[in-house]
Amino acid sequence: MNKISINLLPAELGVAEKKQFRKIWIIRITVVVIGVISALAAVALGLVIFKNNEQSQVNLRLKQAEQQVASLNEQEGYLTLLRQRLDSVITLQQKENKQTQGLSSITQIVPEEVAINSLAVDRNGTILLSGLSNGVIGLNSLVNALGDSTKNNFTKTNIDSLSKGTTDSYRFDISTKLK
Amino acid sequence: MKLKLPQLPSGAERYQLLIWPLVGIGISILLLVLVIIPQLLRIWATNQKIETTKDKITTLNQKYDQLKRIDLNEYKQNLNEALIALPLDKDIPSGISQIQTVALNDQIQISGLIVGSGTTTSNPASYQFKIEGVGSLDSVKKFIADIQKGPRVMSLDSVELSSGNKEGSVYSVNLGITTYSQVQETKLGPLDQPVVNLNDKEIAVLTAIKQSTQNTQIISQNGTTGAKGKSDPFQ
Repeated sequence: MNKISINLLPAELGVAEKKQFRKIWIIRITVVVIGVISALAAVALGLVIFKNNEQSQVNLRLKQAEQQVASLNEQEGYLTLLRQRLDSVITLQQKENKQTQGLSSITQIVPEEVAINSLAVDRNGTILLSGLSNGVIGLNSLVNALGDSTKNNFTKTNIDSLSKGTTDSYRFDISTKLK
Repeated sequence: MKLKLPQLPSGAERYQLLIWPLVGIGISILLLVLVIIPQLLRIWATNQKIETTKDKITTLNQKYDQLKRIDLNEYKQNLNEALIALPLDKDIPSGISQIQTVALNDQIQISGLIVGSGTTTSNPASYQFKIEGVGSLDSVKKFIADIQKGPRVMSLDSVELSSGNKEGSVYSVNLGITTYSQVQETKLGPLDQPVVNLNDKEIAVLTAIKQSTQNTQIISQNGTTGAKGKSDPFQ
């Protein structure tokens, strides 16, 4: 046989009780949320204080390191000066020197039959050559060598003057330019 | 039967349930906006600063270790050698000395030596020696090569050769030789700028200068050899 229960309490009382229950839970949740957020804020503030302390310590170490390096200022100065000077020397030594190259090249290609009377090499690499050739073969050989741009570094080779002497000798003036 | 409708909550009672969550959300937002987010940003910025400072400290410590290894006397000596190659001022005596020493070694008879005024505006500054001399072609070639290998940096500017006798064995030579000087810049970089030691090329040049200083003894204001006098007697 089934039992029959009958709620004789008024319906308003049940509604009021439910309302009260919801209200209590809402307050609890709100308090918990505020508590969590406040705890987060406290942690953040704590971290800031911790990081500030760390920064102060690091700054102190930086100051000490700077003082150490500053105490070796003289060593750094000498090293810097030495490097600057050596770099300048290297730059100057690396400058192309056409004059030396020109003189060396000319003396290498002058044949036996030719005697150089005068040779001038200016700073632009222009070479003026005067000489005496014993026979036309030597002169021809010299002019060919100066004109052969594949073997030598000369360009714009020109015979400025050529005169034949009493014997089989030729006086000549040649101008040429280093590439 | 008469049906009784439930009464609607009135006034504050109606919003009573909303007030607590609203207050909670308000406080949370305020804490987030005014405290948590600014502090987190501050922590991030501080962290960045700390990292940068730590990097600086590492660089400075490395620099200190490098500088500590530098033998000051050795570097002073090295700088003196380098100043022979490229002096601070004209140092005309060292130029003349080098020319004369090389000419003597290479059997070139110098009959005239003129010192030009040169340029002081360029960096490095330069001036020219005009040399008149006599010697064989081989001697002239050797002189030109040796003068450029000497301790002081010199470069050949112009050459004029003319045969001095009929056989063509002796030549008169007119040479234009340029030499250089450079004012020292004494500015040092910031403290945390890393130290760069001498590289292989610089060490090679320094060794070459030392070697040539031993081979060709010249009088120099900056060097260790010879008398010390006025660098530019025309001034």
